[in-house]
Amino acid sequence: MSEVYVYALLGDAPAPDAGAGLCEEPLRVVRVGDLLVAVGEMAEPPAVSEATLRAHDAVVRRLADAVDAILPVRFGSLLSESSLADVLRARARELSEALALVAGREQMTLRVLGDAPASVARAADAPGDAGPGARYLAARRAEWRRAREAPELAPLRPLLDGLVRAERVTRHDAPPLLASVYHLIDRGAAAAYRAAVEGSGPCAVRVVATGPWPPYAFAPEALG
Amino acid sequence: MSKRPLTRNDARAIFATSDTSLLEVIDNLLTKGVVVTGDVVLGLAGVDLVYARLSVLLCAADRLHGAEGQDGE
Amino acid sequence: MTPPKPRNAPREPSLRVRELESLRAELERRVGDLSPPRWNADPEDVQRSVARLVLTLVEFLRQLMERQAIRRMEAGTLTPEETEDVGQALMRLEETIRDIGRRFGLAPEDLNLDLGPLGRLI
Repeated sequence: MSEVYVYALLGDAPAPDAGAGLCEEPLRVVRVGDLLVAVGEMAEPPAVSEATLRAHDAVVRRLADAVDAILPVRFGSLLSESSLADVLRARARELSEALALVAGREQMTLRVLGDAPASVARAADAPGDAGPGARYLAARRAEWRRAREAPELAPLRPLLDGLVRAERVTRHDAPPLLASVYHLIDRGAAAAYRAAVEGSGPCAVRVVATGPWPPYAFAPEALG
Repeated sequence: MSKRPLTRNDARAIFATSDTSLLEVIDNLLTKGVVVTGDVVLGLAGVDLVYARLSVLLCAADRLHGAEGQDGE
Repeated sequence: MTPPKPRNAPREPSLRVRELESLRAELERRVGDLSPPRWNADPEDVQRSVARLVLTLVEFLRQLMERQAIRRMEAGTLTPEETEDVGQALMRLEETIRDIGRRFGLAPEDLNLDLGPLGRLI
């Protein structure tokens, strides 16, 4: 069976058509339930190179400009149409919710840079008389949470809160790279966002913003 | 697109860059985005034998996640 | 055909050399192996290879259950007794995985066979 290379999930169909893919193959829009998927026929996965990565990104950007909601798919996704349909059907609810979140929006990426991660004092989550099992779960929850937080951004929050629709965090804790923070903003708000980041007062950390990007980081399991 | 087999070195070459825009593209395309494939190659004695489609397992994991959404218990 | 220059191309970010270097190293680490994840039993030590695969899968399931337990705990749908019992069970499971791993010379970091999207939960 022939395989398809998957570029993105779409909320609506691009007009007049989806254009061409990174191998100049004509793109098709396939429907699986309520989801639309932009795919191209390909015999083998593209080699990973600067050229193919940039070409794939260019295709996703073009599709993003042509539709309201787009969920980019990871580079190198080649599979049969029936496998694709199986995967999308199984995850339909989660993917539809993610598509609704990113509608009309795009991503800014912040790199949080400094000498040491911010340490945050945490109140004990478990009641004082909790047994070892409850304390273990409370400690594990604190770890899960900590891995998804960027307390270093606290001074910027008042300036950014009005612009940020959703946030995803990857902690690196490898000085000088402390964390990467991905912010979902309304399309067109990038200049205001940059102004807010650059206009913020003295901060214990350095923050460098790039974007806007299609919302790669807001796919359901996007954070590795 | 070149037809010769991709060697590990070819792919690694993308990291030998000081171009921050390329690093951003790498971050977005290779560590983010919806994952629709999840395949594992199983083998013995250095020989690849079975190409296992994990999309089936993906469904199982999602149903586990899905169950929690209906938690009324 | 060269890819068209994006209309809203990002400005060059001003990362310093050290910062760029650490971003590059982090990405290289996270992207990992670009070829499909592979399990290939080492003929010199088939037992260890099997143990590694089995323990990786069990650890994956343990983390899945742990996340669900935490969600239930936060949603208040676990009684204090259940919270204690599940917490203890997860603790013991974690110790067991570590102990069996140790017997085969496997450290926690070895249980990281990249199972694609499944492996990312680990």
